[in-house]
Amino acid sequence: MISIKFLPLFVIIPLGSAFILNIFERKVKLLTDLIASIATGALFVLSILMFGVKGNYYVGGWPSQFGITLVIDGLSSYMLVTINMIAFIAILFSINYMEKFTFKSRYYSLLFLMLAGMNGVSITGDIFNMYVFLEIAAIASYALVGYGGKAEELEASFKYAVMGTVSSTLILLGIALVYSQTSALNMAVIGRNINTSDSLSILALIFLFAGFGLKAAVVPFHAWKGTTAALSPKPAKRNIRASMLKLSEVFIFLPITAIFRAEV
Amino acid sequence: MIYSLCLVLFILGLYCVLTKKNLIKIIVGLVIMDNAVNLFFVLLGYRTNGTVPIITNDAEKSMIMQHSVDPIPQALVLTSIVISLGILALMVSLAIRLYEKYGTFDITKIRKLKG
Repeated sequence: MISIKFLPLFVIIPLGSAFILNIFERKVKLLTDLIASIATGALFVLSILMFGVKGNYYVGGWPSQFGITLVIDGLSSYMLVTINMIAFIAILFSINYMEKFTFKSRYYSLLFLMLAGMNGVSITGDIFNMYVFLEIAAIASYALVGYGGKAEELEASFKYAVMGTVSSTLILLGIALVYSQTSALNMAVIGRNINTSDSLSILALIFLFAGFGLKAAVVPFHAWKGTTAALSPKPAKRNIRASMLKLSEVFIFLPITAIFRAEV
Repeated sequence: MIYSLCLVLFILGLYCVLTKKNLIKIIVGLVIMDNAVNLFFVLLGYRTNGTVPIITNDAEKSMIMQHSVDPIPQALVLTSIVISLGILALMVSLAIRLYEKYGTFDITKIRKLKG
């Protein structure tokens, strides 16, 4: 019944509901809450049902050298359950909490875009596709930090956006160096082809580590985190932000373990 | 040689982000960094006097491998440009809202946060 065919739904459902929600804002207010809860609930149930399924999904039927591959394995099924559970709880919490803000459906839209990005980062097997999903999640989270529109929130949002943009530029530079070494974007193909004793590979590793480290605020890059992460005012949002940071923290180790094997 | 010029441009953008005090100048520095990486990515696939990577018959396949420009970095850079445009729009609108709240673009005067 449950098979690998359901894997793209983790991106399709949040991306679709992010834009469908805005249609009903004027007409039926209750419907936005309902759709948001049902969509995240369905994702949570789906992620539990998919737990333990392993395999590849080839987008558009292209083989892995040419197309984008979606992969689900032990780590990504665990990440999917964590992310979707937190998103479901955050949506339930914000039904009442967000009443005092105008345009609740736009808050839901940003949250769903962020969820789509985070689910995409967990299941993708393509290194540039991972960058794209990371940016979707990151841009939505910059907007979410400044959502209240108070002076402090806007300031925190701007700082977070500067840090995030610098780190994603570093990640893109690392991806460019990896592509120049292997002529491949698929993570499994890169892992087979890369020559880890080459100095350019070490340079790519350094850029990737600096980028993901800055994004996740691990020890050498942790100084900025206290101002923005602790200050985002809404508890629901803060949980999502924290799980986002943890997610990219886990993903530091993916380029190192999957791509650069133990010899580095 | 040409690759190290990209790195110089990247460092220039990073220097601008780290030292400038005006919000708009910080945004300009980020755009310079983005463009340096995009330029580097396109240069990776470039080949002097290369041909267009379009296959019209089977006989051209091996010729393409040896003489054409690599099209993948160009596709990737196109995506990356769109992403950096999105970030640019968001950050400029944030800067406008910050100006409304604080009345200044100076980052040293925008200090309601601790730390």
